[in-house]
Amino acid sequence: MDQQKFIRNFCIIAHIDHGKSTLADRIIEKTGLLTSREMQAQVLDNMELERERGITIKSQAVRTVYKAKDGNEYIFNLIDTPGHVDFNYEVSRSLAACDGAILVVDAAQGIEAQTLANVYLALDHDLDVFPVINKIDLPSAEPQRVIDEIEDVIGLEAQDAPLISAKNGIGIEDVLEQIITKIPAPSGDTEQPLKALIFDSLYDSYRGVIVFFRVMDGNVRKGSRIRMMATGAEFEVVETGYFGAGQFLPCEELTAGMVGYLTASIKNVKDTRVGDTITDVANPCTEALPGYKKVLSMVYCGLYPADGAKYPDLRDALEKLQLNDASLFYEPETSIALGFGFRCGFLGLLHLEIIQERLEREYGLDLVTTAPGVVYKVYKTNGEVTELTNPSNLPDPSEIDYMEEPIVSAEIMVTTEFVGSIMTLCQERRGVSRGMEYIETTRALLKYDLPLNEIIYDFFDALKSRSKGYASFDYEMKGYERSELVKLDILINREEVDALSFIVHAGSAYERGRKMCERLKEEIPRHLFEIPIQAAVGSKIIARETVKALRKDVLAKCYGGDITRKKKLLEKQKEGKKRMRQVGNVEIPQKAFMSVLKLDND
Amino acid sequence: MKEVSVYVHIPFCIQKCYYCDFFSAPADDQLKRDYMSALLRQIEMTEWDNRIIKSLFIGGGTPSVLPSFFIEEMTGRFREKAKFAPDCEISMEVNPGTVDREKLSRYFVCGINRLSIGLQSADDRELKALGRIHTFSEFVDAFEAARMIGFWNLNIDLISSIPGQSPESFQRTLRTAAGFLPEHLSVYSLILEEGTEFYRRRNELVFPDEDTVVKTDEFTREYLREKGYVRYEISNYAREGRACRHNCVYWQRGTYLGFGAGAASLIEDGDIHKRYTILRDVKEYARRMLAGPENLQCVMTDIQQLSRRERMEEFMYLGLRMTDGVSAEHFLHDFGIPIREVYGGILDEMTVKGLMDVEGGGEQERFFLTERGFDVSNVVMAQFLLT
Repeated sequence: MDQQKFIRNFCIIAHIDHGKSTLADRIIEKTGLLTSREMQAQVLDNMELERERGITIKSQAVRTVYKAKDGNEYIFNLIDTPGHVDFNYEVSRSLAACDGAILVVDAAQGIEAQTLANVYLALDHDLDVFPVINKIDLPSAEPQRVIDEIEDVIGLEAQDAPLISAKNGIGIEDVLEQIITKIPAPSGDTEQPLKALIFDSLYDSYRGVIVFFRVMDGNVRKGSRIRMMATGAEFEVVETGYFGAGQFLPCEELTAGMVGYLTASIKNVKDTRVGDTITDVANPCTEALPGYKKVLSMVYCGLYPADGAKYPDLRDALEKLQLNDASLFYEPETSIALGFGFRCGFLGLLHLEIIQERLEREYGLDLVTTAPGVVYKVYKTNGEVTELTNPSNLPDPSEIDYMEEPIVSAEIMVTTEFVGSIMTLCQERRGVSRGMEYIETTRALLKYDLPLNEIIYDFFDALKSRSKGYASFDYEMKGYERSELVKLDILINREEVDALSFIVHAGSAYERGRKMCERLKEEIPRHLFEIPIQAAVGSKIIARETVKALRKDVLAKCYGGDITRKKKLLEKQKEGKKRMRQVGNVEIPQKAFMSVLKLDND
Repeated sequence: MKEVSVYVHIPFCIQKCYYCDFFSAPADDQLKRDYMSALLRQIEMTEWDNRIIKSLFIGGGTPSVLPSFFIEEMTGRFREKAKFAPDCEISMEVNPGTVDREKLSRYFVCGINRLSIGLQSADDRELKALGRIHTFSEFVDAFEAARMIGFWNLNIDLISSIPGQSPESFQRTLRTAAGFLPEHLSVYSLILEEGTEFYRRRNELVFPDEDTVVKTDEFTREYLREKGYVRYEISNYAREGRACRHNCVYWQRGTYLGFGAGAASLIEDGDIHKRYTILRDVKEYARRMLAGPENLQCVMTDIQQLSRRERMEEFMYLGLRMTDGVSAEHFLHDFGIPIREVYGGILDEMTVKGLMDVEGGGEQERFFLTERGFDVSNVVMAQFLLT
């Protein structure tokens, strides 16, 4: 179809901090929101725009119009890809919605671990990738070296790569022109039955789920009856449209090659999974697009409302978040220390942090998070195999034959001077070396198999600090391996606190237990009595600290003018108590339950 | 006739002490003159009605930096406008570095019958470290002059747990002060307050650890008891019958009126109980008062009407500062409800934990803090907040 000639669907891939979002901003800036034809239509339709205003869309995709040097107007659909290994599946679906990708490489730093991972992922999806060298105005920029590196290491033609500074707006025209020449136009068939790929969705309380998708074949318009092929759910389309800068712009129809959204009074996001295929009920396509999978949670933790009465609010908020994020898993659980809450599954630690932050910020919830853990496999002596997501559910040791833990294959790119310290770090984290390659004389790629539970907390921080920020890191799941694992329990004032238990490798139990006790000693305020804090494996105490009793807390002076201030002080004291959890007769601050996260910060 | 206590704030100092966060401001002579006129104006404008002054306290700052004729004029003005109870306690704070025999005589003549002399430490190096402007020997002169003139009710202010102070040095100070046989001693364990010089230098100063503070306070209690002083409040000790009546008004929630910038008031008008503070800005206070305002509203700030719940809370956490504690009868009288109906659970819990004790029964029941309870009184008092 002729129209498709003037559409380019692409994404930008880059290592973190190499300038992906700055380049995206520049592209949006240098292009227009509407074609000249649409512009007139929109002016007439101003009321419609008004109605839409105020709803800001998260910029998962943006449509801009570029008037090229050849005189034609091109529609660019820039699809954002999450930049973190946690979201590999989402990244892969976003990539599948594109026809090409711009690879941004920092002119000073060159290729990094995520650069490689992202490029390979893009090439796997048959995207045409063209490189752009960014930050050429840095004093340390070595564009030619980086160009050679791209050609040598990745094998991408890079001699005519635009040399740009996204920050200072240098070379952006080049990029825009190359988008047209180097990225292919979509080649869908408008005559075929509807086949569209969902790459994201958003829940809006007025319109229900807003589905973000790319039309591969056929077309979809208001009134179309559609079916989600994996979930089988069917809907009638209420509205179709595309993404302006921060706005939804409704349009008549979306045809093959186009990227846009639809609403269809969809109440439940579980019906619109990322990666699913949309087709027409009356005239369905024969097979779904490849690559759909139900994502599995890698990291689990308990989420509890700080105020027990907010449990229903937390449940509602999780339900709403799941509308946008089908990879979020949750089920109710109960803790002796924390009451009613949820065991939640995440793609990774970053995903966990994002969800936690959204719950707190967007839903105004005050949360207590327990130590994150991975999914262990427990092989019982009676032949049963269970998946363990909550340490408290670990069967009695006498019933356990052995356990397995998830292992990832990690690739770490680092300058040669830090190879030694990074290898030490990996060994400390029970890594098994799978070889090392030199990318060039000064940089090496280390390959390690690492237990997932050794990297979910703070591996990335440790990596950065031990390489002065020069190491980059990427990983993928490899599988499960047998391991010596134990449950570490924490006793506060001689009572076991279930929410503080975690699974740890037998070899690190002592060290972890000691640090945990030290940490808790700092977190737990002094009480009127002495509080022992103990770490135990089974019935054996392996570490102990003591919170000394509070001996003095007095306001020496309180006369006529001090009374209001005195009251504030007492109120603060009382308010502090509200943010505590009572375990036995000890008040434990909520953040203490997360202290296990920060064990290696010292 | 309703009893009322009066507090006058003189927010001027020669130099601000390093530990002090009380309201005071630098001032030239003109501002001091304006301030004095403003104070007199405030006394005149106050509706005294049938009120009788049961105690008057002139504090600061350093009231003794003002010329003594002003103290005469001010006390005279109070006498003109209001009635003084025959046994009215009239106290004034004095800094030993700012008084001489003549000044003290004038104070005596105009009716001041109680002096609170700020000694803080008997060690000149410590005095310097505290930012005090006087020496120990100046204190001796002032104290002896006061006695010679005939002051029969004297307080000495001391501070314990000064940064760098050894327990022995504080003990010497306490013995020395008690050796002067004052009727009253206030011993404040130093609190690091924000906005003070000590707070600014907190990282370079060495504060005594908690165990030492606890031991020092224990010593203070024991030693003063031996010497015949009764501890009647967290930091206050007196000979039998010589507790500061003015300060007890604060803790028993009596009515008091504040005069001068930064002075606080608690007033009762029928069912309405209000706390307010006079503007904490010397210049602005003086300007507004001298402009001849219609009423005193224009210098009031932080006006706060107290709910019944807030009054109950105050009743508890202020009353418990005193060793006599709070009485069931008094509570019932003020609120029309037995104390145990409101606080029974907490009172029992605190008693079981050894932080409080009970005496008497029924309406004669009295609740008070134990020594351990006093040490952690903030923890105990917070329990009595009802929200």
